[in-house]
Amino acid sequence: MKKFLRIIIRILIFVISLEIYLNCGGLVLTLIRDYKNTRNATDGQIRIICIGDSTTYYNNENDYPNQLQTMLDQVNSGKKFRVINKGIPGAKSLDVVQHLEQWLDEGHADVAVIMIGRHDPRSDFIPLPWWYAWGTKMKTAGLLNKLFHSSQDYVLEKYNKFFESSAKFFADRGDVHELKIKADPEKNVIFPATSPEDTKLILQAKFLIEEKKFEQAQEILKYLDTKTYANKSFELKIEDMLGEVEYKKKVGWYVAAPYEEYMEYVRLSSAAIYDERSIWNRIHARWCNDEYIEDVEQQLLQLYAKAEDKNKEFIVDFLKTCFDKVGRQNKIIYYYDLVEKIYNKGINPVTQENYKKIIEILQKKNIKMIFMQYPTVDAEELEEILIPISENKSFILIDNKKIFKELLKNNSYKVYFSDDYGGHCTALGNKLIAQDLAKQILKIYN
Amino acid sequence: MLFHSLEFLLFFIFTFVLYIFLNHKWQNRLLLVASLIFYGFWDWRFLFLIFFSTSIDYFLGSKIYSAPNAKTKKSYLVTSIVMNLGVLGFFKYFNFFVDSFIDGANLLGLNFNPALPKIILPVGISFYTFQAMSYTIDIYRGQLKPVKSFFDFALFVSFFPKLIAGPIERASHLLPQIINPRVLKLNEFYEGCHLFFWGLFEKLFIANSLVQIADSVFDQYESYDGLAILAGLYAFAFQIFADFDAYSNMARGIGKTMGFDLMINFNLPYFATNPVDFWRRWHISLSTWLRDYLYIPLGGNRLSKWKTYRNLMLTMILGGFWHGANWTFVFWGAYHGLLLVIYRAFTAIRKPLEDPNRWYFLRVIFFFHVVTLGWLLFRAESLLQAKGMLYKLIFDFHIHGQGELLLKTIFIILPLFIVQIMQYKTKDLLIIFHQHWLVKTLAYSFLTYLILGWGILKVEEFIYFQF
Repeated sequence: MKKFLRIIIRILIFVISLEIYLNCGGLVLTLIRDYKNTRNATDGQIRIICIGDSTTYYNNENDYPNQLQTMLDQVNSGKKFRVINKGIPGAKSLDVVQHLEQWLDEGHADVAVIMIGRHDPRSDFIPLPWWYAWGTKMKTAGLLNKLFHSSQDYVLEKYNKFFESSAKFFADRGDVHELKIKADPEKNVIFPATSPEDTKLILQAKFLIEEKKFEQAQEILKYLDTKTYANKSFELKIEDMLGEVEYKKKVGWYVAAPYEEYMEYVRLSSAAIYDERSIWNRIHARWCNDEYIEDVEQQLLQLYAKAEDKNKEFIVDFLKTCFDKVGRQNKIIYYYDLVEKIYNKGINPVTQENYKKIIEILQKKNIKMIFMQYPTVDAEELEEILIPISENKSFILIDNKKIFKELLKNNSYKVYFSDDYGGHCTALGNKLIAQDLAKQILKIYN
Repeated sequence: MLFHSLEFLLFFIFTFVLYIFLNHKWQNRLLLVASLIFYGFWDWRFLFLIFFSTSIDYFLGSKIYSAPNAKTKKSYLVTSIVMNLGVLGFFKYFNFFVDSFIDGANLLGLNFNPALPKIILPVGISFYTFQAMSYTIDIYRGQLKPVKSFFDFALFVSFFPKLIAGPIERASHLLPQIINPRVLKLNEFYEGCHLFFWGLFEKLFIANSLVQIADSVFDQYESYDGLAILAGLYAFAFQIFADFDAYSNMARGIGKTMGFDLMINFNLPYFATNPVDFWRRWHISLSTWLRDYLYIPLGGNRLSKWKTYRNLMLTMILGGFWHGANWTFVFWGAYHGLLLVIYRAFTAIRKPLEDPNRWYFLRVIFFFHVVTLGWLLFRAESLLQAKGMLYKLIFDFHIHGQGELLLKTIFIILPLFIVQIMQYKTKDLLIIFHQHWLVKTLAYSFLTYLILGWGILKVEEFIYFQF
């Protein structure tokens, strides 16, 4: 008992100290950044403070504040600019309201660039149970989650590689095997206890399944099922194949095929096929090509119609990724819009209220305001909110989505975004944001 | 299968659970099968090679022992050595010699460009070949009796913890542990886990973080100034140490959990104050191997002064060449050979200066820089690069230069540095393991934090695998 208690205490100490280290680490990183910000402070600079969440934070040479600094340095405008990154991963608009004055004073800001709101509770927000909310706040939990996902990705990558090689093997084999069976069924008697006719029927059903003619296959199998045989393995085989057909009809043939993986999918299907990462990944690796993409789309849309609200965005987002792989730009943009529509159900009252407070503070301090909307979100709604609450439209609003959308017509989504959705940009995406921002800033000061 | 990969974790847990429930004979069989699977995971074709080497050495070992006279004994030994070095030479150095020959011919104006097969280097070949050679040579010298069971010998050659990157075990040390039953002790199991975890830390945090700095400096040295190149050199010096020490520790740790005791391969090498001391601490299993099977047979230091110098140079050059088929390794070996020769030649002058209590840390720092200069030769792709970097290091050095890399390097090395100082002061390599449980728990959680939070969870090859 004493020993057991000691183990529990050790684990507790381990977790608590890990949590402390993680928090301290984050603090140190932010301190280093702030130190860098203040280190080069000289007079006569125009100081631009970039406020936002992880999309601003990034913390390397590719984040948009950094790229903005480089661009402004290169322009020969006779003025000196200093860009300060105040992005905090996961920041809500409320966090900005609470810290804004302090940041502005510390940074001696002249211009404030703000891109916030993504982490605010949605309008359809349902409070989480206390333990869950508490758990998501623990950094250790986040770390473990990340570890779990990266190990899952690692396994999936291996799996996909293995699958691709074996798929190639089967593809290379082609239909030769099938032709052989058709030509001479007696030579391929799989079940010795059955008649050659039944064997032929089984093979026929098999081909029908492969050709995705499930109804016909089912008919044959049901007919065979009515016959009774002494051979147990034959019965099992029929049962299996019937199950396979049922399953493929239910979840879509692309999910269930090929048959060798059938059992695994049965296991996974209990975990709701809608948001099972592994299934998405497998479909993505295998079926997203010109030949199957329409079929995949159709079946996913069927799932979409039946899906619960919380799963809808996953499906649409996945469709976007699928089309991205094939490179159909119009479809990508269509689903890119759709996923945003589902995800952003309007700017909620809390965010609106916070924007009002932010503008009040900025106007009081007479700081030039530049608002940006995330490159994945339409800017019109934000504009509608901002106009009435600001005096004589004294702000600049940058519509990032307009720029990105235009470019997405010709390029892959992955060129500009580093994640599937969440709006984190690649170096190039951040460059686009910085370019537009630089133009606006130079316009103010020239 | 790398030690820090998911596959290995599953592989080891499976093996270990079976291992505890088996008796001694079946434990050995299990370990042999596991080792072959482990090796086959890299490339199953080379299983034939390892089988070939093993059976020849097993056969020749018993032949040497039962040979009626010295002459036949010798001829069997020569066969064994020629076979081992032949296999090693063909797989490891064939490309090098052919390329060097072609380069030489082209230099002479002959336009010579034959189409040749590229030989793939089998993983760990340098390690297991040396190990198998120690077996036959020891039998020839009468220091060892041949093993009866072929399976035991095969396990000795292919025992998976040390198969890929050492330590290069001696037959006299490892074979008895295989032949005699082993006792599993709980404390040793914990100790093994500790060693493995410490290895994980060295690999995933220290080495994986430093490799980025070292690579970027060495790959684009033109764009850096002297200060950054210094950072790159420090980074590489600690990267190669952490990487290799990590592997040795993990190997030892895995061995320990199953009741094996593999030899210590690194004993705080950067605390050495002179080249002799350094080679007693760095890659001990290789340096003692070279001492016993190359340096001493050549005559060691029992002959004239000049012959001793020749032996030192030859041993170190071949030792350098063992690391890989590249001229930079040869020059690295020669550099260390030269250090040893100089150290020996100036015995009379240095003796009075070597008061162990005087200037100790200054001497450590000085000699660390001497070693680091050697790493420049070792890591550079070509001699031209080494020269270019050295030039920049000296003539492009500003104290207010690109210091960020240096700061980063120091930050990464710091935890390792602190632990090593503790290890040195207490002369206890397991210093963390021997702490109070509360301190230990805090330390483990801090290391976990560094590994997961800062280290990169990428499965990269250990540097030493290609050697």
